[in-house]
Amino acid sequence: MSFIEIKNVSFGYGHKTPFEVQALSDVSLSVEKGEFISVIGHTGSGKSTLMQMLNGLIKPESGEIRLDGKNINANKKNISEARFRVGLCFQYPEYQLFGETCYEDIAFGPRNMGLNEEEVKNRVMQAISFVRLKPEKLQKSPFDLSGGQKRRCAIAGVMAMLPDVLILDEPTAGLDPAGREAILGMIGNYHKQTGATVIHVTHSMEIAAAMSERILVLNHGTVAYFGTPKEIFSHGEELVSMGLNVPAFTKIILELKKRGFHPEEAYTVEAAADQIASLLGGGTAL
Amino acid sequence: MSTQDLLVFDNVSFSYNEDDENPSFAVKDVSFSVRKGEFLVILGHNGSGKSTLAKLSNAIFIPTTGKVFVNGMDTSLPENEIPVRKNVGVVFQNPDNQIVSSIVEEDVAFGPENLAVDPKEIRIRVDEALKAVGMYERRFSETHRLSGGQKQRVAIAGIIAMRPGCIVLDEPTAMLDPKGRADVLNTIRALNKDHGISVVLITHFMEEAVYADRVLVIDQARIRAVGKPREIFSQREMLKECGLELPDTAKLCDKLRDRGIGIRDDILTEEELIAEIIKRSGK
Ligand SMILES: Nc1ncnc2c1ncn2[C@@H]1O[C@H](COP(=O)(O)OP(=O)(O)OP(=O)(O)O)[C@@H](O)[C@H]1O
Ligand SMILES: Nc1ncnc2c1ncn2[C@@H]1O[C@H](COP(=O)(O)OP(=O)(O)OP(=O)(O)O)[C@@H](O)[C@H]1O
Ligand SMILES: [Mg+2]
Ligand SMILES: [Mg+2]
Repeated sequence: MSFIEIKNVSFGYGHKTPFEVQALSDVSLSVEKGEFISVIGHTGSGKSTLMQMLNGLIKPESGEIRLDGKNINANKKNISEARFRVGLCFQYPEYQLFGETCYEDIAFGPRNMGLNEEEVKNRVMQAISFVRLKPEKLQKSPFDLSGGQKRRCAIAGVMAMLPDVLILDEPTAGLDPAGREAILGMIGNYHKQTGATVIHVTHSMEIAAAMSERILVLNHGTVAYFGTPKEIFSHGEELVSMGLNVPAFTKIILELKKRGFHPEEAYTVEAAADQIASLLGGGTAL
Repeated sequence: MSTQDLLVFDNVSFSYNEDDENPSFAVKDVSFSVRKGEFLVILGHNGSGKSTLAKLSNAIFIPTTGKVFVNGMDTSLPENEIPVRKNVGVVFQNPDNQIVSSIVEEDVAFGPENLAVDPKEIRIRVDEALKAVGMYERRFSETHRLSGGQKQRVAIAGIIAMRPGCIVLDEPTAMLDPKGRADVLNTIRALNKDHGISVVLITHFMEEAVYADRVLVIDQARIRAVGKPREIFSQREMLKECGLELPDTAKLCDKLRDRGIGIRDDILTEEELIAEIIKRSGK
């Protein structure tokens, strides 16, 4: 039995209206405890719908989702357990913020879990250290923060519940490069320090390749592939036909192959640099 | 100010709280101009003032101090508002916010209708604009059924149909998948190259700046640097201080240098890197 089991899940929006869409069709997969998974797929492929199902916000129309062996939609107790164990940071976290102050916002989840004020405070302080939000921001209204700070506040609110499964839906969209790096770094820290399972949706092939143990590829509401970066990015042509691509570094390696060189595959900047350096007779990283 | 300059920012400052005792400035002492047919990319950290600049460029905002001129017209004069908007079109970050009609071609017609363009002329412009963005076949489609990339292209068509001399695009690719991004970028490049429309592209993706004529770096409401992409991306310390980074290919070149490969430090594109590797390997 795997930690998360998604079995034959389907879901559609707008049934019996002219706008009916089948967002997910017969999706099955399982995820092990402590894995770092990235989810990629064209716009509208069903990524956000699947993520919202994992913490019980959307209920599958058919099929089931099991967390630690329990069907999360079986009864109220299971749903509320899933809400606490699975932390979801939305694609547009701006819509997730509602507290008077950042402190109130981040404290909301832990309080709901029934922790006392002392413990809630500890959770808030731990969470802002994960996301590197300055303590003086805690008394500010979340609406007075810049885009990047709002996102940190929203992620801190989810991390403060210390979820066993952390789900982030495009956490770096719209962030500047320094903000992107900072947020990815703190997600990596959370994964290492807590051993939590992390599921992360992204449109960046480079980020998916660099961070994940496995990558899930959704295409028109179905699972196209689920495997290691190496497995996934060996399907370059198919990925392109699904609106996706291989990482920029892989493109360069593939182009060198066409020009008569014999590098090994590479999906990250470090691996590509190793391959090119050895083609040019250079050493490895200093 | 030269006659070649379509859009001119002359010492512009803008504050969202100018009536406060200590107003803060989202844009401070900014001067630059966009030439006819130029492709200008604006980079800058979150909150640096980029979207505010976009809104100052077509009279959505009026400078707190300083002036913005479009084809020589002062944007702060009420009588210039319509001609200014005819000349500079702005595409906002979220296409959902600017799609107004339920059918693609109606949506594209909305802008020119508002400018009181003759209906026959509108028909011609709408078809032309939809062809330019590759959405002509989808002209009768319902807008809510389009993907993010398609909606973004329809939004661009709506702007093209107003026949502006300059299009300002605020992070048009932020939420798109790789194909959607490539489609939108190709559309923008074609408008610039084939139709001579000036383009101002605001982005957080360094790769999108590589093909610009000039790059403008904004840091904390002020212009920090202006120059050709190669000049900008050779200033590694400046980029770092501004919260920016190198394009992917240049990052890879730095990693090669870490490995003792003395590769040129001005390579920005995949083609340049491949050519350099071929040259060095003696093949
Ligand atoms: N609330 C809703 N009502 C109706 N249709 C919806 C709703 N939310 C999503 N859809 C549709 O369901 C499909 C899957 O959407 P979903 O948001 O899961 O895709 P996604 O992979 O997250 O896309 P993106 O990369 O653009 O975020 C799409 O066709 C979308 O238009
Ligand atoms: N409506 C508003 N009212 C008050 N302050 C605002 C408003 N809009 C923006 N600001 C502030 O003005 C400054 C510049 O904001 P702007 O939106 O222009 O930044 P940006 O460079 O577009 O950032 P991003 O990359 O996050 O989109 C920021 O400090 C921001 O908090
Ligand atoms: Mg989504
Ligand atoms: Mg902005």
